[in-house]
Amino acid sequence: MAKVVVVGAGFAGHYAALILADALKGKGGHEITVISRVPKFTYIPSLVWVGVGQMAAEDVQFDLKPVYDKVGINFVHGVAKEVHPDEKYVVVEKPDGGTQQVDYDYIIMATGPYLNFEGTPGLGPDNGYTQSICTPPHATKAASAYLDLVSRMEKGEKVKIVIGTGHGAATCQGAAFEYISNVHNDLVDRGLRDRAEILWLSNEPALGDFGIDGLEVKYGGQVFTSEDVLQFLFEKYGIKWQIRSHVKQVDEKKIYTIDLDGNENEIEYDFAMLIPQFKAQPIKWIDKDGNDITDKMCNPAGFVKVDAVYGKPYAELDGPDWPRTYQNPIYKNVFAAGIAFAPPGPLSKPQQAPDGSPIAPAPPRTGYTAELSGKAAALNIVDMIEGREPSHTASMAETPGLCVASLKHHLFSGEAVTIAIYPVARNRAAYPEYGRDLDNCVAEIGLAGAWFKWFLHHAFLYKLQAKPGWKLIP
Amino acid sequence: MATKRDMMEKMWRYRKNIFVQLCRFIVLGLHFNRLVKKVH
Repeated sequence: MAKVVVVGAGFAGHYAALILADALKGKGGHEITVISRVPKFTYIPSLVWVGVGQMAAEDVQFDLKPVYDKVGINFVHGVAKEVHPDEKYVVVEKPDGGTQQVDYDYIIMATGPYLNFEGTPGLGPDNGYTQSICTPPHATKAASAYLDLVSRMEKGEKVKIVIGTGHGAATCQGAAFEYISNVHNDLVDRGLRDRAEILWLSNEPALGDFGIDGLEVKYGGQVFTSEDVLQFLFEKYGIKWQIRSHVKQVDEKKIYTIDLDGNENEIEYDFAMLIPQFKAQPIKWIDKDGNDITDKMCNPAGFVKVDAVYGKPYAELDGPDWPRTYQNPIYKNVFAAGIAFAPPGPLSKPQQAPDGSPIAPAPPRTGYTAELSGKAAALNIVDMIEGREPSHTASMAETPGLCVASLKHHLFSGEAVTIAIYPVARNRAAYPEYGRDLDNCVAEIGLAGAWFKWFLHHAFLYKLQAKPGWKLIP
Repeated sequence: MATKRDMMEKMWRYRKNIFVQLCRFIVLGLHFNRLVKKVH
């Protein structure tokens, strides 16, 4: 009987646990345990609608325990603080302050990000001045602040809105892009758009980079870039942009930035939603002698090393360097998935401002990509339990990225950008010209995307609650 | 040949046309399905 522990219950961790429970069912009483600091699963892609007050936070969440009870998974509510890979146990800090030791034979680290608001002084809704849509409480607070702003605008006030990234090394530009578009369209519907100046503030090297080095699509014999599409859309929406920028500091009235050319700017704002830098959850790795081996197990940002090729400069990095099995090279019973695995490097070109500030978007590995890595890790553990070598792969350089970026949430008047790229990480070894198969890449704006977004919201929440037939939904 | 701008304007014009979008929903859905099958 094997004990498998999954740390984290987001897209990667929760899906990995469901896959494990299904694959090991009736095969010798194996024990699966999920450790999560929050007792709910959150469908993060819909938080953008929570952030504009068009959806309640509870509509994007469900309780984990009833799902785990149904499929035979143990649930531990708490924060993983230490992993002891030689003795094979995790130390968990419980909500009541006590600690619990959870033993394992195999472990998947799928902890998601630590939202590093303190990386930018004045950033964030708790100890700063800006809003966030990264968690349900943050998105709810953002909606409240946004609706207060709307009330002021209804009284005739003109306002300045800034949305984007709050640090030069932030990721998830896509979520901020969805938010700025939904805010624009909500203000149009309210008849207030002419009372707001809206600015896109981002660390991207080019408009439409999204932390994945942009994308190209072929239509009518021409190659369009995501920069072409975003520029067109922002012109239609009347949204201005400032890119290639690091946010140095935020105070009650201004956002202080520096760009790649060293230009410093002070941006006045009435409402700002800026995504923070993502770092790894602070978990220590301790060996059998009590030594802290976190720097051996993780990269400098704290993400767990897996079967990637680390240490190559950006210019030499290519598809084959991306991890395939998500197995740690030192401890073969340790896997990492989703945001928790250490990527071999960035997808966007890393740069810095003349003062040394990093302007280097981190690679996104959320949503569908996270799910795929969680599934591969889970099935590789099943392989090992059954005496085989890990055989399941889900390299970001061999798997598609599917993303529907909401612009407006409505079944009849909505719109979204439907994006498909193959593969996510450019793989010039396989596709020399662009690093991607352009015949499989799509980016188009329309109501069809709004339907997809609505459909995916319901399909994923259904699947991840392990309701009847859940395995049929990919 | 139409310019990129012309083509994007055309996409913009039809972005809320129910008939066009129903067709695109089917085409894009089949495309998504094909990509998903590559990895499952």
